Amino acid sequence: MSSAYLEAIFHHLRDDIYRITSPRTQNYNCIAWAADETHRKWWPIGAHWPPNVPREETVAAFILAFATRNYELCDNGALEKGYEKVAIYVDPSQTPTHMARQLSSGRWTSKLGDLEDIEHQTLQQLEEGSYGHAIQYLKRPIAVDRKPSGCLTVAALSLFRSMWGLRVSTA
Amino acid sequence: MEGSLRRLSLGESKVERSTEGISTVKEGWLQIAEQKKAKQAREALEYARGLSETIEAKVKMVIEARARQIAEQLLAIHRKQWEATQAKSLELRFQSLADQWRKDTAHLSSVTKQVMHPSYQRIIGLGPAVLPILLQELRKESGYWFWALNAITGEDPIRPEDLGDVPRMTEAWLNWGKQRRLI
Repeated sequence: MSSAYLEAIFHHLRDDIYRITSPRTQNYNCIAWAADETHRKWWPIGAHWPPNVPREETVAAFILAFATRNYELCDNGALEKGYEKVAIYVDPSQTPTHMARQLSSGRWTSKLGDLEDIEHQTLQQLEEGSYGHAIQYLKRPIAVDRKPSGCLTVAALSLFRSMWGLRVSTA
Repeated sequence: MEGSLRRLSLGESKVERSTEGISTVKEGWLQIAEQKKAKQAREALEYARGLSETIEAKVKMVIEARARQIAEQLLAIHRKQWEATQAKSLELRFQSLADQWRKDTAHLSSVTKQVMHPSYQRIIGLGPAVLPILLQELRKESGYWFWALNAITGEDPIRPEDLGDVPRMTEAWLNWGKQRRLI
């Protein structure tokens, strides 16, 4: 199923196959959907955000938020056996705008704001326009318990501190 | 003819003199009777005038009271019409801004970008008058109005653990609105 209004917003959608996989809802957004949640919105400001992660709109804060779900940095969005991946999109000011989650097929699933979920073949289909570009990839082993750990691991904190120069309290 | 002349002549025996001339007794009686009649007429006239003034004052009072009542009713109707027009105008203004906001931001996940949109900011600028509309819109799940509610009222009835949970945030704000009789 395709949609003219989605293609009007995301001009590259028609470049490859995609399909709408849910009705519209404002109960969750793309970040929550990437984190496998559908009962609340995730965002550093004005919505749910994991405890002890800085409430700021930076890639570093998004990485830390997903570290609470056992994700770690990886180089690309290619399908990797035994792992599931998410991608972070940023606008030209490097502010996160969107996240997509990879399916076992290698395709991606995205919640489009308050609109529908879609399954899309490539990350590029949602690039440009409001979402900017996918620039950061995270992965976690598929076997990992999907329940949130609720806090950052010490190892993850050390890693991200060194990478992003963040000051995050572990208390 | 002869008899009446005699009575006249008898009557002529008693005459009165006054500065105005000579008059017979009969003429004097007639004069008294006329004066009495004139006095009665004056009294009747005064009574009638008094009665008329009393009635006039009472009628005037009744008419004024009724006129005041009608004027107040007209003012109340006019006030209601004006308020209804204002409410309708505010509702139309809100819907126009909300439509534009939804059109431009429905595909965005960034709460910040959504609430910083100019139309959303203009809705906040409508002030406390728009609160009942925003609360009704929450019921319709038509948008993320929590930020606007917070910005207008300076209050935040949402528990920190419920942030992002739209049904719970909605419930918290609707309870807040009910307590203040806004819905």
